[in-house]
Amino acid sequence: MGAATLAPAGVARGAWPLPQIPGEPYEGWSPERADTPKLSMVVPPNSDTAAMRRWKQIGLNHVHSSLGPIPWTEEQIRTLMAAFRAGGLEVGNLMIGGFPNTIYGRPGRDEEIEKIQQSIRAAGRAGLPVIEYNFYAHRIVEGYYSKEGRAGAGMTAFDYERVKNLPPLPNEGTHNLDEMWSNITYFLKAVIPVAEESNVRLALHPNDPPAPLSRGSQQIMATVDGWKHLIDIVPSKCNGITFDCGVTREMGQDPVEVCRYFGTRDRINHVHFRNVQVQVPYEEYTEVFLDEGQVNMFAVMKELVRQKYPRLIDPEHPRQLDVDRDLTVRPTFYPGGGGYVGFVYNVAYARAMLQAALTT
Amino acid sequence: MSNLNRRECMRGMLAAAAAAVPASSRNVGGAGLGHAPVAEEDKIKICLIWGNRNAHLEKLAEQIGVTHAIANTDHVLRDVPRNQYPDALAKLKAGYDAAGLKIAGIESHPVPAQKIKLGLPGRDEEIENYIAALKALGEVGIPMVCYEFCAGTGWYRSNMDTPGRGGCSTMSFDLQDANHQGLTQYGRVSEEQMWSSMEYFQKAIIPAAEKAGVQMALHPDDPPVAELRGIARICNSAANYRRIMNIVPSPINGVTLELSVFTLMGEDIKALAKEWTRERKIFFIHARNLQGTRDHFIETFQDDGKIDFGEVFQVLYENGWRGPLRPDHDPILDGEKEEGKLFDYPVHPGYGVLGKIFAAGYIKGILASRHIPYA
Repeated sequence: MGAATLAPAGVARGAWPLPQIPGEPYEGWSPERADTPKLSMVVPPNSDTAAMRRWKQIGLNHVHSSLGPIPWTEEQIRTLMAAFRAGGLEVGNLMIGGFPNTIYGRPGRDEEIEKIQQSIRAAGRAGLPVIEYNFYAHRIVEGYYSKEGRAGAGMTAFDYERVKNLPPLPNEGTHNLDEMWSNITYFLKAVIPVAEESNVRLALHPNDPPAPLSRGSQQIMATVDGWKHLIDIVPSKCNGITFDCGVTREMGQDPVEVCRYFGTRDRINHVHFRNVQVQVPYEEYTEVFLDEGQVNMFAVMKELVRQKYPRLIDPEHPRQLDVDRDLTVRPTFYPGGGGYVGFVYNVAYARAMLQAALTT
Repeated sequence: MSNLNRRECMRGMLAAAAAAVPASSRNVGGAGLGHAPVAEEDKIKICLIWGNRNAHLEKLAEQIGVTHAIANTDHVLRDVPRNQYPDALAKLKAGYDAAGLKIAGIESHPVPAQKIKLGLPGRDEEIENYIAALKALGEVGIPMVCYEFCAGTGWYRSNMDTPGRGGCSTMSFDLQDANHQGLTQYGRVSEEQMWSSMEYFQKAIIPAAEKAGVQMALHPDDPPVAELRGIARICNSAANYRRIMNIVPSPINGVTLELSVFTLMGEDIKALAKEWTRERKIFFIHARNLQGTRDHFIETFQDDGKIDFGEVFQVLYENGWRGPLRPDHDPILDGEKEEGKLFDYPVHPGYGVLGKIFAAGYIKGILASRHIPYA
């Protein structure tokens, strides 16, 4: 993955090729290889050259993104990957969506599943290794609010009390665990065999926030037991998860242990790398800077390296710094969340963790 | 039990559970290791430098967790009579205190010192000012001066806008290109002259610094070539450093271990880190990275150059080093280059804002991975 932008193995750090000065831009040493984790950032599919330069400058060689409505075609995917490759970036993951009937178990789900299968085949032919997806009745983002951290930096906090009694939405309805498990089982049994044939790994994102009830619906991916059950439905490395150490800690679980469980079974197909301060598991927590919080980020990184995890790590959910409030290089989605400048900090910290994990 | 009570109960249980979590599972960043809080004096202090005060940038630094600063007093003291130095410095310090920043030291000399470096007439006046400044620094509680002895040229690059990673703007040096610029206004300055200037300086200043309780941390000549544009350089090898520090031995007579420059000298920076930490000679660390050699190099980000900072920090820390550290130079990233300024802070080579945020994040990550507490 990303062969064009990765450096040749066996070249010592001190002997890295130095271009004619001034001449071609210096490419920079990196220990990322085909068999190591790679830092990545989520980016818009139509990113321009200016945006790609910003990510290359902070040392990213990989990105992940999304595409339009299903079914995706091979040409669409190839075109997207080629556009990023021209900027020196390898697309390692695309998020797929737009299949509500499948999620809610309604008529029309077979047509959606057919489109998803087509998209997976297209991805396989185009050489895209991972497709990420979500499977929830409702994501309870209403519980997020902004809190002030050090020197007024923005933190993203979650409080279940504020939203636990929110009524169901008419287009969503309410769904319990049995129903949701049944719906996802139907889905997985149809798509995972196609994924295996196409050599594409699927990564199911955990419920984030991992609240017990979300507008009246239960969440299958809001507990580690749920994650474990998921991978047992169809025993295949293509039936995997996005391992998120922040969500893991929000559930009151040990991220290193959970990483080990899923890593040893080769079911980690994408990683989210963020830190958190938890007051009440599942219900009350604050997303904080990587360098503060209850997750031992280096221990998580070491475990991923120990597992020889070779896919992407996303140091997501930047904190909101003043400069992000003023600049609009990258607008922020979460209350208290940041943009490009917050990402710069996260990528640098995660890079240190990755280099240290690979070289010590 | 009402919901409120249940939550309070859970919070209490959680606090107890958190306290019982083994140290290995807890974050080892700035908050410290394990359960016992780490005393300030046991932490490495990450510093940033803003030559001219800027409230926005100082707040930004604090948002990324940096609360130590390196100040500059040259521009404050140069236009003020000696007897007003204490007032001027008190005002300066009060400004930093109000911003929530602790001054770990100053760069470079506290007052103009070009005549001192070149051994020119007028150097005695500069020395008088210097001694008065040291006394005032000691009184106001600024503990360290990072000074250099690059007569005439200062730190020098032959190209200030070299394309780096992803097309960012960095700096590079090529000795041939530099010398093509010819002599400076100061003409030829011999090695003998430089040693003579240095001895004069050491004998006048070190006793005064010791009396004032201020550490003198000599920064190497950058680049550490033997001669640049006709002017000899002497702070360019570990052997010369030892000779300089022995002119007037003192516990306050020490080193700024500029990791990239000492690497360019061809020195073993881990061995020096160990030797000079044990001798209690390292008062300051500069951590920027590079690729290339002394006569031909390019500056990089902290993560993608030839130096492995984790290795060096480990040696420093395990030998007892606990001082201030700053990332020094970083490339200028897109956005800042076109604008030329961020928050009305005029970006100049090595000193953009985004690069410093990157550097601080990276250095903290490296320290955390080595279980080294920092502030």
